[in-house]
Amino acid sequence: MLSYVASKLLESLALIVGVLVLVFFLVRLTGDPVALMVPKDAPQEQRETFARMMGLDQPLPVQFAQYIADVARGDLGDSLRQRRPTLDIIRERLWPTVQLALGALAFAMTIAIPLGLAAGLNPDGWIDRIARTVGLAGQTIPNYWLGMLLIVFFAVELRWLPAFGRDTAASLVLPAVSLGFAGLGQLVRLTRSTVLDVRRSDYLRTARSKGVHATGLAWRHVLPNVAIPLISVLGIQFTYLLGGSVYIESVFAWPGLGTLLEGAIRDTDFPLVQAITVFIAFIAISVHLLTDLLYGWVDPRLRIA
Amino acid sequence: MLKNGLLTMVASLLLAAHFAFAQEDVLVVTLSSDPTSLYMPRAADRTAGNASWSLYDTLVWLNEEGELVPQLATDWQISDDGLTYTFTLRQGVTFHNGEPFTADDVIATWEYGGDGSNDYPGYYTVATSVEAIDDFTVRITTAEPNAIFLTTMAKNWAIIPGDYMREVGIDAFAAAPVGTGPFQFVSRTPGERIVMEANPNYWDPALPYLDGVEYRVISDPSTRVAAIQTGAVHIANRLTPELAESLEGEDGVDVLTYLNDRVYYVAFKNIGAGVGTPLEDARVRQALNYGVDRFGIIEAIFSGYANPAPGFVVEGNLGYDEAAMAPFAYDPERARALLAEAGYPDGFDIQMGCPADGYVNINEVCQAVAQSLGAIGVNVDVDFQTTNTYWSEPQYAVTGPMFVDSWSSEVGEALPRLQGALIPGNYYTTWEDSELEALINQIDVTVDRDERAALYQEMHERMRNEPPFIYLYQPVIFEAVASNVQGYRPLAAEEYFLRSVRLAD
Repeated sequence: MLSYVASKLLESLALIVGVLVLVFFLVRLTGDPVALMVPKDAPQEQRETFARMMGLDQPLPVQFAQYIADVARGDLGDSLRQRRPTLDIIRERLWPTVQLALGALAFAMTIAIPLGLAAGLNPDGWIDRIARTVGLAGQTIPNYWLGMLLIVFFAVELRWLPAFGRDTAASLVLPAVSLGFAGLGQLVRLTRSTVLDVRRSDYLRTARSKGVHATGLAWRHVLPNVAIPLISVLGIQFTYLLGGSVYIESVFAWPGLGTLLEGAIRDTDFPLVQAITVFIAFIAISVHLLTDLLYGWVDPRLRIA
Repeated sequence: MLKNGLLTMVASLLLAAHFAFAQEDVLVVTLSSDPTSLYMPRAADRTAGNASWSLYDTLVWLNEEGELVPQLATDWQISDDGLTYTFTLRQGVTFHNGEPFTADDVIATWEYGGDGSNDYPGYYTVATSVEAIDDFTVRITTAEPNAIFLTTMAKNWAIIPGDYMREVGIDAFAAAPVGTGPFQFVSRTPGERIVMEANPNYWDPALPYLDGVEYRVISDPSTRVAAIQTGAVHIANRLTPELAESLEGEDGVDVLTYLNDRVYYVAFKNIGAGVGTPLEDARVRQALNYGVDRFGIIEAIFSGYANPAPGFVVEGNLGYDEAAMAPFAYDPERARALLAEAGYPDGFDIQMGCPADGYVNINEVCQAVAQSLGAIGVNVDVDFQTTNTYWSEPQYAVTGPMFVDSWSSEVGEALPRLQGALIPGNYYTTWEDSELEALINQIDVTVDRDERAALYQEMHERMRNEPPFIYLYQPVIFEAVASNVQGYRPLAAEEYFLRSVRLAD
């Protein structure tokens, strides 16, 4: 188990370094940061002062080494526009995004898992047909489009729910549903196909031939074996929801990391863009690490491998 | 069962929802982005400036008619040499934190505003000294006569309490801003909202009419429309023409349109890539102005919602004269004749830079310009570049002999765009004309408004006969305003002030 944990930790560390390299050089590939940051009509001397202040007059490798050293100390730099540490800004906007991702995940799970189970246990029945349609819809409908549709219908026409913002619990419903819908599709399909696989397995055939009751089969033998792939998918889903909420947050004016990133890009606040990207990547890697460890704990076969 | 569960969930959440307005008259306004700061010297973008202005006053204010009127200064004198301004300050004014307003606060506003970490310290450092003669008299000196100094003050010098600023510093001040303005800061939730309440001790006892103002950050324009349709906000700004049209006939919502003080143009170069090209001949540059179908572009690309630009001095600007300043007609015959006269009967090939996606519909505009000019024999190769590249180098170094750009002004006159695009050495200057340069510099130091207006007219004539640009259009701004909002008058630079807005029952 120890070597399993160690190898996973090492893997995560390598990933983080990779992300840092990528982010650092990609941001610089998009253009001269000085031009991005000073006002359009700034005189040359202001541009030079600015470059010096930000260390942008140094050679790239020097800048990169400085950047890695700062990140290692937990310093992701200062926002250009807000002139304060990017981590402070990110901290203010983190909870709404986590809340939205949890809401979306809860919505997706509540519907997808029972639906997928029912579908897998009764393949080709009417529930299965619904499940397959939902699965397809979830994977194909763009979430921002769904979001706008829900706003027009439930907020503007019916006046049941607020169109935007984060004022009451009701504010969470439409964004969570829009964001969770894609995950719902994937979860339904995965649950359904896993149930089908398990049902075709040798151990289930043995159990059935021993005369175990159908309900007992589903609860004792199918569910635990469906849980394993689900855990890893839920982990991936959660990180996807965290990072993928940019559109949805913008459509619903949800004050999280997504709208923060959108604003940072529009304001060409490149230290902030860089910091948010690294931060989300860091969370995603941590969640994956956690999922891997949990996976190893649930499935003893992996600890030895 | 599943269906019942869903319904129960929705129903219980509905019970939790309550989004009716309180009894008080609180105006809710959308912001298209989260303000970078509520401290004016760091609130350079329009959104931040608009939210901030509810908190502050200036010494003199440029009102909706474009006149300078007293605010925290009751009176002012300008010395004969145009270098010294003496302001008499209003007495008995207090800041939101109770600090009394005196000459010292004007000095602090200038000192802190000029801090190098701010967006445009130059708006403050243009004054070389600010001295208190006594508690209620301030003398401000500029190094050179400056035509728009009072306007610059009116647009930027939000007066701050000196003692408070010196105690907490700029960062803490920006987090809890204090001014003498009609509204005072209550709270701010990043990315979400800014809440302000009426200043009960405002120096003009009649104002403000509202009990409070709430700004809501909504970056997506269609969501801003949904917000006003559901009655959650009173003013939804920055809409697209399509969204504004979708609101026609909507009960309780009026669509407001006004011209933006921004000119889109194609710049010519007589330096860099422009040297030795046909553009050096004024007849060619006139021909290109006659050859671009700006009216067709406005119809086809902006559904008619834009004005053809007559030049750099446009409607609402000082010196604008509708009768004397007509835009170039669309006259391809005349264009071809002028080209022939200049020795290009078969036209020529030329490259034109375009800031891809840099402005609303700009890619289509670039292509339409190229198509128009193609019809008079001028084959334009449109060089689309990402805006980062486009605006990163001095413009003369970036692309071909022509390039598309735009320039706004918020001071009610054309001076900033004239300086930005025609004074040699500036980043966006690609046309050098010593006569124009001399005129601009003269405008810059002419403090008298009438004299300045006459100079703008002279400027316009020269820029029409010897055009440094193809003048394209001036865009229209769309906002949606709830019908019960009264006294809301946004300015051409998308600025608005809420001190005299009220909500009817």
